Amino acid sequence: MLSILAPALAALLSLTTPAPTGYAVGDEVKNFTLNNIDGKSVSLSDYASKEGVIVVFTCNHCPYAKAYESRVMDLDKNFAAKGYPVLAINPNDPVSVPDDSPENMKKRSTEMGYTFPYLFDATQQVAKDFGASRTPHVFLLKNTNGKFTVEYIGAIDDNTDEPAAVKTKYVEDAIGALKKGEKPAVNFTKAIGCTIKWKS
Amino acid sequence: MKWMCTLIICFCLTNSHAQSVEYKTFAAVDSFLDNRNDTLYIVNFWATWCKPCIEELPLFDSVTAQNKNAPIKVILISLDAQIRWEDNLVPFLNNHAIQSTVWAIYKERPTDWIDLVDPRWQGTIPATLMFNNARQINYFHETSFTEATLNEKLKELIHL
Repeated sequence: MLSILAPALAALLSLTTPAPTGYAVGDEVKNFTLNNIDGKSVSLSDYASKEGVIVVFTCNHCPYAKAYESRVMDLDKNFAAKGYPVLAINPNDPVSVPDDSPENMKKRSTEMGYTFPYLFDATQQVAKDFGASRTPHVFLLKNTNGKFTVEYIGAIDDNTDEPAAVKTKYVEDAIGALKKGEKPAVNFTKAIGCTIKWKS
Repeated sequence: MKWMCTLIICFCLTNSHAQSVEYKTFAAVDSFLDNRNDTLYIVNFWATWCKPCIEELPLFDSVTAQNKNAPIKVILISLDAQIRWEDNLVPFLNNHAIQSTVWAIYKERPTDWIDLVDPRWQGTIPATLMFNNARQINYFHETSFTEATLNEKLKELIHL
């Protein structure tokens, strides 16, 4: 009886309490491997010698991702040498958004001179594991002896439309705190972004 | 000469029967979301750059058209950036015959404004909040609607 009730109850609860799934701040991130634009695979474990990783779910087509593109590039330029490189992941289904195909990802990366991997989440499982819900969506990870934990989730800063009017740079501030051995003062924010184009 | 062109354009705009935008402070929107009127408010968040948002706007206009005497009110809140209202939002509304009320929110807002609108909102659009505080109806839909799903949800909420 319980074996029938429990899943039914779980299903009912998931209908009434649509809490986002995925990693929360403090969670350990399991290893993943995805293909980069050069066809080679990149794993989270490749970053075992780094202090952390700035994982950014982003894409080509989304106007909000485009608005943040140069700021994502700046994050890598400023923080890769300080132990926190950027790792960009495109979670979108290229069937519904051809602009976000691997070929177009490669074009964009080459055109703009990305200094970081731009991985294609072909099955969208990594996006689901993280609980990414939009583009852009940042998950700042800290590395402790090869174990990666989530330390910040959310927006890059507090102003999508006017970079010059940014007052708070959430990711930079979080990295600053982590480098001092502290926890980020702000560890979760939300911003407007494009839906992830899930496969149907 | 330039001022003459501007004058002519202004004249044309005011005579095009276009839907105009109501510009609101976030405080006004926040306050509106707490109102206790016995009306089903259908608040859709959209933007001119959001393709799925544009595609479903006619569905909301149908709701407006079909419910003129019912206690139902559709409000389309544009999330176009304030710096792009003049170049994007206003021309869009001039070129599309939108029947429903359209609001846009001034850029000065609390950093947690998305949570203040609805803690269930992950920040994606289109997103639609349907509420009637007098009847404790509060439904949040963070994805597109089809005609069928919108009508089904309305039927359900109207009978509560």
